[in-house]
Amino acid sequence: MMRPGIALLVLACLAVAGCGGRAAAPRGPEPPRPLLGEATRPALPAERLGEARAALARGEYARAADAAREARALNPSLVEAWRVEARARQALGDPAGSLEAWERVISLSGGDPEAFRAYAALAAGLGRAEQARARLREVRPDGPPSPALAATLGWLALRTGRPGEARELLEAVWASGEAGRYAALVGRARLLAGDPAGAAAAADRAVEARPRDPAGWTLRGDAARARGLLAAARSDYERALAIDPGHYPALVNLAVTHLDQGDLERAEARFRRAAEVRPGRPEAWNDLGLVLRSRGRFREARDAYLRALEVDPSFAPALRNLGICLEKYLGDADRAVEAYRRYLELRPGDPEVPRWIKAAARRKEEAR
Amino acid sequence: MRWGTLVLLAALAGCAGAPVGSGPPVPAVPPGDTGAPAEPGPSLEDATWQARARLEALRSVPSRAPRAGELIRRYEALLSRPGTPEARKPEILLRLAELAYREEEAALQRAYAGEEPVSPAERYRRAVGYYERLVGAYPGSPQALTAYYNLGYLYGERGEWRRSAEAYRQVLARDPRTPYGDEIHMRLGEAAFDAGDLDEAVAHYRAVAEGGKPEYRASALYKLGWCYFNLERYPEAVEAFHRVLAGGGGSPEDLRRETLEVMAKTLLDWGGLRALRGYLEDHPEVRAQGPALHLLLGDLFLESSRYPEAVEAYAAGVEAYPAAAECLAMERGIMAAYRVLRDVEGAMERRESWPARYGPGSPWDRAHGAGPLGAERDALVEEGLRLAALYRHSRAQRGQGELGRALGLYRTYLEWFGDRTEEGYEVAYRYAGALREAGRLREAADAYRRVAENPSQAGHREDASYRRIQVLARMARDDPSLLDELVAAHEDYVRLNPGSPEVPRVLLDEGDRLLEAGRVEESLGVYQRLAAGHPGTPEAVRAAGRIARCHFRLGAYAEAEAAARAALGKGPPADEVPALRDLVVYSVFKQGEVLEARGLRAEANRHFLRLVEEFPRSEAARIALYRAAENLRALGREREAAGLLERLARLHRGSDHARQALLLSSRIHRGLGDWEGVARDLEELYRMDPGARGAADVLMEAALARERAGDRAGAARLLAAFAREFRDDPRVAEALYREGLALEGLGRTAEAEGRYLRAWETGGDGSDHARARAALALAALRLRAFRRVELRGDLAERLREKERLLEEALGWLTRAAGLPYADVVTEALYRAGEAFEHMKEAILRSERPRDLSPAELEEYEFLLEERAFPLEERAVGFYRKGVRAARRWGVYDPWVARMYARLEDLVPWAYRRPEEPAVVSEVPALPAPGGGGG
Repeated sequence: MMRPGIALLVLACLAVAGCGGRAAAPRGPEPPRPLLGEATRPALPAERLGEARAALARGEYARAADAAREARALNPSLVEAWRVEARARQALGDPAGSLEAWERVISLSGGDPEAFRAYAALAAGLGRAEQARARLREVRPDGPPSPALAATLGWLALRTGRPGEARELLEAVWASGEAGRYAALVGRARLLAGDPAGAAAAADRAVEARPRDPAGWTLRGDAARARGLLAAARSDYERALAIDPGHYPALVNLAVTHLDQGDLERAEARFRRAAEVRPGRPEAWNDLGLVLRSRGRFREARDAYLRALEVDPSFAPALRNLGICLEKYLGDADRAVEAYRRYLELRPGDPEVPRWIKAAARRKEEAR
Repeated sequence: MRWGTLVLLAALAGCAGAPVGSGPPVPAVPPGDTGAPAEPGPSLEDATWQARARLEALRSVPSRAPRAGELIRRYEALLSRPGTPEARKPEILLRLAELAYREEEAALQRAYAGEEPVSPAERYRRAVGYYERLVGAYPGSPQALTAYYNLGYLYGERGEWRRSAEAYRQVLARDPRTPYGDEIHMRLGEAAFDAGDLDEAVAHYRAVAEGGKPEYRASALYKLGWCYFNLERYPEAVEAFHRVLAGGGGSPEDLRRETLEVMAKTLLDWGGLRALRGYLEDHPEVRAQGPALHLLLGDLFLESSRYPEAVEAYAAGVEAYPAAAECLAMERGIMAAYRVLRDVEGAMERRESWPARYGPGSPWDRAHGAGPLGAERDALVEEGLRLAALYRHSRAQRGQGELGRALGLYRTYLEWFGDRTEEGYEVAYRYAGALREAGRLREAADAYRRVAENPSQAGHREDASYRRIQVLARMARDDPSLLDELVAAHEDYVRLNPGSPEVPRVLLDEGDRLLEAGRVEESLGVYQRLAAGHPGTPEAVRAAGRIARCHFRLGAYAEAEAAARAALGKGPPADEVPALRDLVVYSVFKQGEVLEARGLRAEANRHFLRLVEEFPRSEAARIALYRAAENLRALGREREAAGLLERLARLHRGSDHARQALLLSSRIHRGLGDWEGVARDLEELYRMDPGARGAADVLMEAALARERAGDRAGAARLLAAFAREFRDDPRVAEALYREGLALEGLGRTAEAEGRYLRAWETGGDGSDHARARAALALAALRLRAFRRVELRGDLAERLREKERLLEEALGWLTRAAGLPYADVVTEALYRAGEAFEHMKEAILRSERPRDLSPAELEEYEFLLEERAFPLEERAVGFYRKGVRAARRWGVYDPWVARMYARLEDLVPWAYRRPEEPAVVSEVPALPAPGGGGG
């Protein structure tokens, strides 16, 4: 601690120093004064873009977004400014802003693989896959799309339930020499289009290209299962789970395979694990209901179906299975009919369920 | 030399110089002795001087001196000569008396030498005669005084005391101032004393004591004291003696000593110690004589057997004069008195006081410790302390005293005298023992160590070494930290007593203690030393076993086994043989266990099985068998494992272990699906003790295992045994039912039916399910017969038979379903439905009559269908009933599933409901641009 005498001396010195003509001590380093004439020159878009890139590289996304916005405000056709802004906004958790910026990139430049992928992914995430598909289909209306664009369109077709279109687009990509990169996508398209053998070939290529990707192994399992090769399918799913024990598709599909093989115990365990891993997905609960029904635990089965519907009220398989369980095994015709009706709302073209509704009514009469 | 003799010699000396020509000198008449009244005589000193001078003259002329006889004749002649003047005759007679005395004295000396006897009456006869003639004839002559004096003396020599006294009295009467007065009084006093006239003696002695010459006074007082003593006038006696004692240097030493003695005697008679104390208080000037007087008084008491008073006197002396030289003598006196009194306690008490009285720093020690008495004191106290300590110790050992007292004495002794002497060494040894007996073990151990290590003495070395071990062992029981010292004590024993036959035992004990403390390596070293250094001893043999044990505890099991076997080969004591055998067993077992822990199970089993072969009946063998079995199981050799367990069961047949082994073995067989093995083990288990608790379970399980093994005959046998042996068991119905199944499987349907019926008829709680199953079995038998009936030939008859069998079957199914078991109910309903479906099919496929026209055949077909379809309705009814019952009870079994399946076929609109599983078909993410995999 400073002694009082010394403190007074210091204060005196400071007082003397304060008499030197300056009003106050400076608060921080001042920026260098601009040279004569420079201060009046407006900022260039390139300079702003440079600042934006630097900020992005440093992880200063807000600053990057601002600088990029200034740059493209100065020059709206500056594609790179839009790109930097898109990246920055995506990093900032602003998918809509990012989507808009990417769209401008595609509009201005005709697109590139990064822009297509980012745009499609963001759109799908925002539930605008259809929009994106339509927008991208306009990019090259006259000629065949580039492999990147075709792959993106194929992907969007799969996401929007157009396996035929997807397969067509992706087979072109497959033939263009990009088979390895897009093998999983191609395989899924083939499988959904009813070509399990082709799917298996693509899946082989996928796991060869990316052996640590559980999705490739799951695809291969799905292809094998579709071909009736249940042991092979089980093996592939187990490979996927070895890589990622919580891989939901592999867990569910492996459990379904167990169910197909009559191994109800294992199937139940896998379904329960899957439901635990992804409680927001209905498939595992639905299939667990099937296992429980097969084991004669009808009430538990009913509860599992209800749980699936709780997660996803529009999950039609669960409504169908719930109706069967109620009608056939629990003798609750009224509620069964209700379930069937809801099912028909989702799948109005189903030919069987209307007859079941009638049968239920008749059995109800018979019971009386 | 007495004064009288001296005077006589003086007289003789005077005679030698007498002028008698060439003859012997004639005694000269004293100057002035011419017949005139005698002048006072010369002093005794003068007389002595003259006597010496004359004697010298006689000696210087012996050759020329005439013989005494010749002189006597000459003087006799002169006396009888007529011309001899009368005045000279006294002188001549005196001379003659002197010469006669010389001759008679010489004769007397010869007589004393044994040459010739002389009677008292003959002594000095002639000399006395001459003196008597002189005093008789010339009583007034100056020589008469000398003659009387010499007569007094010679009479006394002849024992004529009265005449002697009379002669002396004549001297005094004639010359009261005679220089011989004191002597004469003394002689008269003695004469009176001897005559018992003590009063007269007192008068004579007092005369001298009061006015006599100084040289006579002490003696006179001494004599006077005696007189008073004899007169029992003790105060006067004490006073007289006191004057002797107080006389300073005037009293001869021997007289003073004698006076002390008689003073003590006087005090003894006057009142003993009390008188002595009074005397000393009254006469402080003789305090220096106090110790001697106490000592003498004590001695006198002692001599007079008055021992307590002797002790008192001695003790008082010591108390009053603690620094006196006489103390030691008094202490000895005390001891002597106590000894006679046999008062050991008193003696010991006294001895115990000695260190304080005479020890270093005490007044006595300061006065005499460095002098010659110091050694005397040391000897006395050394013995006294030693005896006292030993006495106290022995009393304490008998429970008659405090050990602490003995310990204090021992300690004092050792501090004073040390332990280097033989006695000190003994005391040190005893001291150690006393410490041990007092429970002061720490000090005892140290004391024993000092005894054992004593470089000067060795008599107790071995014993002290050994007792030190014992003491430390006791201490170590409560304080394990003393183990090191205890071990050192063992080592010291061995070092100090290398030739002792106890060395092996000590080494064995040392090893045992180390072993017990868990210091196994050290104990092993000791045992090995013992074995190598003392081979052939019993301890070496025991050490061999201990060596094995050490190896075992160190985990060197192979060495332990070898050592234990070697020890067994040396003929160990019978009590050690079982332990050594056990050690071999455990060592082998442990070798296996170690390998097992390392995962070397096959190698481990080599040891386990070796153990089993060599010691099949041992407990370890049982465990080894078990462990070997476990290892085999771990190696996947389950069947061999079960074999070992069965072997275990055989070896220990009837034991719990056997039962456990068989149970485990049966489980292994069960795991292997070897139901034959399961059945075999359980049957064996049952046979071991059919009356055991749980025997029914075992038998039933064995039967079920036979059943599963496909051994229907065996199953039937065991189930029959069950029904027979355990009549009250609720599973009797089940046993009968299962026996029926087995028999049915063997084709012995009739017997089977009998068992089913018995099962059905068996009552009792818990048997209903089996009864229901039996009813189902009976129904199944009927249904089998029912199916065998084909509707061909005599259709009506066949149909009746088939319907009868169906009715019977339905009856049993109904009975079965009447019991509340869901599985039975569902099966019964399914079988009923199935039977009706069969009936329907049988009717539809029945043989058609051959002689029917096409129209009749069509009509016939129609009738058949009409009859058949209600049967299907009945089947559906049973199925529906079944699934409703299942739904109601919440059961789902294969019969229910079958019924659902049949309903899906028979009533598809109502029951066929395909479910929809959901698979997950996820669209993979779009690959990143420029990513790998191209």
